Amino acid sequence: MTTTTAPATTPDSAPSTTTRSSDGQVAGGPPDPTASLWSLRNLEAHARFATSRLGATSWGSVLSTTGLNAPLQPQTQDPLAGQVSAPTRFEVLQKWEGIVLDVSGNSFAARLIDLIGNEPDQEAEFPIRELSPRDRKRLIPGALFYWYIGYRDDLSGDRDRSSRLRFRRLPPPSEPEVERARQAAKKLRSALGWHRR
Amino acid sequence: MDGIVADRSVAPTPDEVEVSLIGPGYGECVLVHFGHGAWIVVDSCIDVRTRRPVALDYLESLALDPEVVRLVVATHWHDDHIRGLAEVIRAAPKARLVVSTALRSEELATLVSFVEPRMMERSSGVAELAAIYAHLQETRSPLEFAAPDRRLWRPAGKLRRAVWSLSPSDRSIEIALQGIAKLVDDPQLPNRRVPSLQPNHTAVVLWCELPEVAVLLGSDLENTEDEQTGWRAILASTARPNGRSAIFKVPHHGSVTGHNPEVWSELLEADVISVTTPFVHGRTHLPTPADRSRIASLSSAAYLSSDTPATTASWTPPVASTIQEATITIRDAEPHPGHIRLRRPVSGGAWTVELFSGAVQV
Repeated sequence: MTTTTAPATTPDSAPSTTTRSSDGQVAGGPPDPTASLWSLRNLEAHARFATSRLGATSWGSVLSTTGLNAPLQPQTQDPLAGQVSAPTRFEVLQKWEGIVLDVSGNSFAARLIDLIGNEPDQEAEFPIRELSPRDRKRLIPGALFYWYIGYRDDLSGDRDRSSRLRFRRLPPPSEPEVERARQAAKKLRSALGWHRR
Repeated sequence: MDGIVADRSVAPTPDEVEVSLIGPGYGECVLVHFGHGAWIVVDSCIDVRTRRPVALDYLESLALDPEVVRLVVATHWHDDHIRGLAEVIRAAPKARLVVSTALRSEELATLVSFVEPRMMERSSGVAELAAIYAHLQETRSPLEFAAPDRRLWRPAGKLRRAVWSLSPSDRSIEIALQGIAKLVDDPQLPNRRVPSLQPNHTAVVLWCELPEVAVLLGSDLENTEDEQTGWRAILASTARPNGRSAIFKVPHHGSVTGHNPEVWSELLEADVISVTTPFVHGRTHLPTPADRSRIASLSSAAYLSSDTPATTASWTPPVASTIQEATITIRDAEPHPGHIRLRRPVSGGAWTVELFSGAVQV
């Protein structure tokens, strides 16, 4: 198999990941590109690579369930372009939208909304060590994240069962965005005849 | 007044009044039958099994068309009180919609306009508000606003039946709008769910006037030190309806933060029946054992719509294994909705209390 260059991750973008191989061993290896929204672009690049080099066809469905079609994408530059790592393939088995409810001591509680099936919402308590240092800074009540469980295959053919938490990382609202919202609110209130408070 | 085994699908007779409280552990909905087929719906929550608003499910189980609903009240905009409300409004074309005055504010409309398009797939009650706004625009439906001591509705030709709002006060609205304005400026807003404003000053408390009896629905209104907000503002009013209530929907899921002793001594009958819904949210579990004791000691009987969270989700083996490895605990966020139903003849008499789907006496 030939080596190639693909977008990769840095320690700063390491995902909040617990990885176990199919025989239950905790796996090491390079971090996966799922830690942030801009790294989703990285993941997409991996997908293109995997599809072109390996003929992997499941990336399309994987990508469609990993939030790449989220309504907003950040407009920041990918800081990881040009770096090298071994590409991987992630087959999503389960995906939730998470909302942090409270944080206490070494754990946090979150509500989980099933985004693949129709199972009832769950409330789970996670150890904070499940999170990368970067994501720990985002751990406040109300913070939004995705939680994926799936299989990760690497080029060597190894498969790990993996749990990945990825927090939402959108930039603060810009003044034009807020102004647009204010104008939309004025229009709405006018349409509804709510001219007074 | 003991709970009895009953058929939930039997509708009240035209001469029966009914107060139903349905709550699954996160969210609540109250339905009141004023007699002769006239109902009101207060707040909304979703049945996790059907994914539908519990009010519509219940009316359907009684073989009633949602057109029987004459009034829908959204007491406040917290997620646990408005989920599915847009669907209820769409299904009940004869209903008038009443909301807290805070909902028509420019501040809240701005917040909705900003946040709703940016929310993740199913994470916010803000989307519910946006759906309500859209419905109002589409249908040009009238919207009314609750205020202290305002009569919201009276069945045609029934002078002794009415629904009054007792809150929110002007001061409460002013404080809430300041809080909402701050939310719009929060740099973390795009990355978090819109937080609830605390304490809750703007909830709409309702006084349901029926022949020979009244029902006080406390929503989530909290008690404060300020005479112009919360329960103290209601107690200070000289214009609220006279009388005492025989049924009390205890505010804020029985929390001590919604407790004011004067509410019990001034607004409620000595042998009041209390009902409330639990609130299980992260590490917050309401009512606490102390709350239960206090409410039971002040009531002739007290009921809770749901008690024990259960786990019913079913995962494939690899997913189940990973959940066990990655979490400390996990359970259903919302148990199946329990239901407390109270009925009595319009002409008077004892209340019949029926408990369904996990509702319990405290």
